[in-house]
Amino acid sequence: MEMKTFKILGIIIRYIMYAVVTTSVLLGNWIITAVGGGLGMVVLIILRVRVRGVVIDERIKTITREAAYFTFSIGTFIAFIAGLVLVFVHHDSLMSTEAIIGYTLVFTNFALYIINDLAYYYNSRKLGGKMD
Amino acid sequence: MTYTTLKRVEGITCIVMLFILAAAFTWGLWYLPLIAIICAAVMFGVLIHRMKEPYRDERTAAIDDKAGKATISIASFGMLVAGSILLAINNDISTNTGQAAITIFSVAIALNIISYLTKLYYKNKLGGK
Repeated sequence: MEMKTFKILGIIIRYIMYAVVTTSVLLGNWIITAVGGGLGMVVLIILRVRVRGVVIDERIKTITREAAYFTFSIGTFIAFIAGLVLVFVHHDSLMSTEAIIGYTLVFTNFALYIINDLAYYYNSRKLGGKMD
Repeated sequence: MTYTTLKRVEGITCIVMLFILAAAFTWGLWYLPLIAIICAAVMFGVLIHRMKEPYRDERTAAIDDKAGKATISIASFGMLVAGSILLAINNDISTNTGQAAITIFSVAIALNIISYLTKLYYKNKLGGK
Protein backbone atom coordinates (compact mmCIF):
# COMPACT_ATOMS: atom_id res chain seq x y z
CA MET A 1 0.00 0.00 0.00
CA GLU A 2 1.20 3.50 -0.85
CA MET A 3 1.71 6.15 1.82
CA LYS A 4 -0.95 8.39 0.25
CA THR A 5 -3.61 5.64 0.39
CA PHE A 6 -2.66 4.95 4.02
CA LYS A 7 -3.08 8.62 4.93
CA ILE A 8 -6.52 8.85 3.28
CA LEU A 9 -7.70 5.58 4.91
CA GLY A 10 -6.27 6.75 8.26
CA ILE A 11 -8.28 9.98 8.15
CA ILE A 12 -11.48 8.09 7.20
CA ILE A 13 -11.01 5.55 10.03
CA ARG A 14 -10.32 8.32 12.56
CA TYR A 15 -13.52 10.14 11.60
CA ILE A 16 -15.51 6.90 11.85
CA MET A 17 -14.01 6.42 15.35
CA TYR A 18 -15.02 9.97 16.37
CA ALA A 19 -18.56 9.24 15.17
CA VAL A 20 -18.65 5.92 17.07
CA VAL A 21 -17.41 7.58 20.30
CA THR A 22 -19.92 10.43 19.99
CA THR A 23 -22.76 7.94 19.41
CA SER A 24 -21.58 5.93 22.41
CA VAL A 25 -21.58 9.01 24.67
CA LEU A 26 -24.99 10.13 23.45
CA LEU A 27 -26.48 6.65 23.94
CA GLY A 28 -24.69 6.23 27.28
CA ASN A 29 -23.28 2.83 26.28
CA TRP A 30 -19.56 2.48 27.06
CA ILE A 31 -19.21 -0.89 25.30
CA ILE A 32 -19.56 0.82 21.87
CA THR A 33 -16.53 3.05 22.66
CA ALA A 34 -14.45 0.15 23.96
CA VAL A 35 -15.18 -2.07 20.93
CA GLY A 36 -15.04 0.79 18.38
CA GLY A 37 -11.78 2.21 19.79
CA GLY A 38 -10.14 -1.22 19.94
CA LEU A 39 -11.22 -2.18 16.40
CA GLY A 40 -10.12 1.18 14.96
CA MET A 41 -6.71 0.84 16.58
CA VAL A 42 -6.25 -2.72 15.25
CA VAL A 43 -7.23 -1.66 11.69
CA LEU A 44 -4.83 1.31 11.82
CA ILE A 45 -1.97 -0.94 13.01
CA ILE A 46 -2.69 -3.50 10.24
CA LEU A 47 -2.73 -0.75 7.58
CA ARG A 48 0.49 0.80 8.98
CA VAL A 49 2.29 -2.56 8.66
CA ARG A 50 1.26 -2.84 4.98
CA VAL A 51 2.71 0.55 3.99
CA ARG A 52 5.79 0.23 1.76
CA GLY A 53 8.71 2.62 1.31
CA VAL A 54 9.99 5.41 3.54
CA VAL A 55 7.22 6.41 5.92
CA ILE A 56 9.06 9.24 7.69
CA ASP A 57 12.58 10.66 7.37
CA GLU A 58 15.20 10.45 10.12
CA ARG A 59 15.26 14.19 10.84
CA ILE A 60 11.52 14.37 11.54
CA LYS A 61 11.74 11.13 13.55
CA THR A 62 14.49 12.54 15.81
CA ILE A 63 12.69 15.86 16.27
CA THR A 64 9.39 14.10 17.12
CA ARG A 65 11.09 11.87 19.70
CA GLU A 66 12.91 14.74 21.36
CA ALA A 67 9.72 16.81 21.44
CA ALA A 68 7.78 13.90 22.93
CA TYR A 69 10.37 13.36 25.67
CA PHE A 70 10.34 17.07 26.50
CA THR A 71 6.51 17.07 26.55
CA PHE A 72 6.48 14.04 28.82
CA SER A 73 8.94 15.63 31.28
CA ILE A 74 7.20 19.02 31.43
CA GLY A 75 3.61 17.72 31.13
CA THR A 76 3.86 15.15 33.92
CA PHE A 77 5.60 17.62 36.25
CA ILE A 78 2.93 20.31 35.76
CA ALA A 79 0.06 17.78 36.06
CA PHE A 80 1.60 16.28 39.21
CA ILE A 81 2.13 19.62 40.98
CA ALA A 82 -1.31 20.93 39.95
CA GLY A 83 -2.98 17.69 41.08
CA LEU A 84 -1.19 17.64 44.45
CA VAL A 85 -2.02 21.29 45.15
CA LEU A 86 -5.70 20.64 44.38
CA VAL A 87 -5.76 17.52 46.59
CA PHE A 88 -4.09 19.20 49.56
CA VAL A 89 -5.95 22.50 49.36
CA HIS A 90 -9.34 20.73 49.15
CA HIS A 91 -8.58 17.81 51.49
CA ASP A 92 -11.56 18.60 53.75
CA SER A 93 -14.10 17.93 50.98
CA LEU A 94 -13.01 14.76 49.19
CA MET A 95 -15.94 14.73 46.76
CA SER A 96 -15.58 18.36 45.67
CA THR A 97 -14.92 19.14 42.01
CA GLU A 98 -11.38 20.38 42.74
CA ALA A 99 -10.41 17.30 44.78
CA ILE A 100 -11.74 14.96 42.06
CA ILE A 101 -9.78 16.85 39.38
CA GLY A 102 -6.67 16.77 41.61
CA TYR A 103 -6.89 13.01 42.21
CA THR A 104 -7.52 12.38 38.48
CA LEU A 105 -4.45 14.45 37.55
CA VAL A 106 -2.20 12.64 40.05
CA PHE A 107 -3.52 9.20 39.00
CA THR A 108 -3.00 10.08 35.31
CA ASN A 109 0.52 11.27 36.08
CA PHE A 110 1.53 8.00 37.77
CA ALA A 111 -0.10 5.99 34.97
CA LEU A 112 1.96 8.00 32.42
CA TYR A 113 5.15 7.25 34.38
CA ILE A 114 4.35 3.54 34.42
CA ILE A 115 3.74 3.52 30.63
CA ASN A 116 7.01 5.42 30.13
CA ASP A 117 8.99 2.98 32.30
CA LEU A 118 7.48 0.00 30.46
CA ALA A 119 8.31 1.61 27.08
CA TYR A 120 11.88 2.31 28.30
CA TYR A 121 12.29 -1.30 29.46
CA TYR A 122 10.89 -2.67 26.16
CA ASN A 123 13.13 -0.45 23.99
CA SER A 124 16.15 -1.19 26.16
CA ARG A 125 15.62 -4.95 25.73
CA LYS A 126 14.89 -4.57 21.99
CA LEU A 127 18.00 -2.51 21.27
CA GLY A 128 20.28 -4.86 23.19
CA GLY A 129 23.76 -3.81 24.29
CA LYS A 130 24.90 -3.14 27.82
CA MET A 131 22.01 -2.33 30.19
CA ASP A 132 23.28 0.74 32.01
CA MET B 1 23.26 2.17 40.66
CA THR B 2 22.66 2.60 36.95
CA TYR B 3 20.09 4.66 35.00
CA THR B 4 18.17 1.52 33.96
CA THR B 5 17.93 0.40 37.60
CA LEU B 6 16.71 3.87 38.54
CA LYS B 7 13.97 3.61 35.87
CA ARG B 8 12.93 0.21 37.27
CA VAL B 9 12.75 1.62 40.80
CA GLU B 10 10.73 4.56 39.41
CA GLY B 11 8.23 2.17 37.79
CA ILE B 12 7.78 0.11 40.97
CA THR B 13 7.46 3.30 43.07
CA CYS B 14 4.74 4.60 40.72
CA ILE B 15 2.74 1.36 41.07
CA VAL B 16 3.04 1.56 44.89
CA MET B 17 2.04 5.25 44.77
CA LEU B 18 -1.08 4.38 42.74
CA PHE B 19 -2.17 1.97 45.51
CA ILE B 20 -1.39 4.56 48.21
CA LEU B 21 -3.43 7.17 46.33
CA ALA B 22 -6.32 4.73 45.92
CA ALA B 23 -6.20 4.02 49.68
CA ALA B 24 -6.02 7.74 50.47
CA PHE B 25 -9.01 8.44 48.21
CA THR B 26 -11.05 5.53 49.60
CA TRP B 27 -10.51 6.33 53.28
CA GLY B 28 -10.05 10.10 52.97
CA LEU B 29 -6.46 10.03 54.34
CA TRP B 30 -5.19 13.12 52.50
CA TYR B 31 -1.88 13.18 54.44
CA LEU B 32 -0.95 9.64 53.29
CA PRO B 33 0.14 10.73 49.74
CA LEU B 34 2.11 13.62 51.29
CA ILE B 35 4.10 11.25 53.54
CA ALA B 36 4.59 8.79 50.64
CA ILE B 37 5.81 11.54 48.28
CA ILE B 38 8.31 12.86 50.86
CA CYS B 39 9.62 9.29 51.42
CA ALA B 40 9.89 8.72 47.64
CA ALA B 41 11.70 12.05 47.16
CA VAL B 42 14.24 11.16 49.88
CA MET B 43 14.72 7.68 48.39
CA PHE B 44 15.28 9.05 44.87
CA GLY B 45 17.66 11.69 46.26
CA VAL B 46 19.80 8.98 47.85
CA LEU B 47 19.65 6.78 44.72
CA ILE B 48 20.64 9.63 42.37
CA HIS B 49 23.48 10.54 44.76
CA ARG B 50 24.77 6.97 44.50
CA MET B 51 24.63 6.93 40.69
CA LYS B 52 27.73 6.72 38.55
CA GLU B 53 28.54 9.63 36.21
CA PRO B 54 27.57 10.28 33.44
CA TYR B 55 23.94 9.61 34.41
CA ARG B 56 22.66 9.36 30.83
CA ASP B 57 24.88 8.17 27.98
CA GLU B 58 23.93 8.34 24.26
CA ARG B 59 22.21 4.95 24.39
CA THR B 60 19.99 5.73 27.37
CA ALA B 61 19.18 9.19 25.95
CA ALA B 62 18.05 7.61 22.65
CA ILE B 63 15.97 5.00 24.52
CA ASP B 64 14.46 7.76 26.70
CA ASP B 65 13.43 9.73 23.59
CA LYS B 66 11.87 6.62 22.00
CA ALA B 67 10.06 5.78 25.24
CA GLY B 68 8.80 9.38 25.47
CA LYS B 69 7.35 9.16 21.95
CA ALA B 70 5.70 5.80 22.71
CA THR B 71 4.28 7.18 25.98
CA ILE B 72 2.74 10.23 24.33
CA SER B 73 1.20 8.14 21.50
CA ILE B 74 -0.16 5.36 23.73
CA ALA B 75 -1.25 7.68 26.54
CA SER B 76 -3.09 10.19 24.37
CA PHE B 77 -5.02 7.43 22.57
CA GLY B 78 -5.64 5.57 25.85
CA MET B 79 -6.77 8.72 27.64
CA LEU B 80 -9.19 9.64 24.85
CA VAL B 81 -10.71 6.14 24.96
CA ALA B 82 -10.79 6.12 28.80
CA GLY B 83 -12.39 9.58 28.89
CA SER B 84 -14.99 8.54 26.32
CA ILE B 85 -15.82 5.37 28.30
CA LEU B 86 -16.24 7.45 31.48
CA LEU B 87 -18.49 9.90 29.62
CA ALA B 88 -20.49 7.03 28.10
CA ILE B 89 -21.00 5.52 31.58
CA ASN B 90 -22.30 8.84 32.87
CA ASN B 91 -22.74 11.61 30.30
CA ASP B 92 -23.62 14.26 32.88
CA ILE B 93 -20.47 16.41 33.19
CA SER B 94 -21.60 17.91 36.50
CA THR B 95 -21.01 14.54 38.22
CA ASN B 96 -17.65 13.29 39.53
CA THR B 97 -17.35 10.77 36.67
CA GLY B 98 -17.99 13.48 34.09
CA GLN B 99 -15.44 15.81 35.68
CA ALA B 100 -12.82 13.05 35.76
CA ALA B 101 -13.51 12.38 32.04
CA ILE B 102 -13.14 16.08 31.16
CA THR B 103 -9.85 16.23 33.14
CA ILE B 104 -8.51 13.19 31.28
CA PHE B 105 -9.53 14.72 27.92
CA SER B 106 -7.85 18.01 28.87
CA VAL B 107 -4.57 16.28 29.81
CA ALA B 108 -4.56 14.33 26.52
CA ILE B 109 -5.22 17.45 24.45
CA ALA B 110 -2.67 19.53 26.43
CA LEU B 111 0.03 16.86 25.92
CA ASN B 112 -0.62 16.81 22.16
CA ILE B 113 -0.53 20.61 21.91
CA ILE B 114 2.74 20.88 23.91
CA SER B 115 4.24 18.08 21.78
CA TYR B 116 3.26 19.84 18.54
CA LEU B 117 4.58 23.23 19.68
CA THR B 118 7.88 21.70 20.85
CA LYS B 119 8.19 19.92 17.52
CA LEU B 120 7.75 23.23 15.69
CA TYR B 121 10.34 24.86 18.00
CA TYR B 122 12.92 22.12 17.37
CA LYS B 123 12.25 22.25 13.61
CA ASN B 124 12.93 25.99 13.54
CA LYS B 125 15.94 25.62 15.82
CA LEU B 126 17.54 22.87 13.75
CA GLY B 127 16.78 24.57 10.44
CA GLY B 128 17.06 22.67 7.16
CA LYS B 129 14.26 21.60 4.85
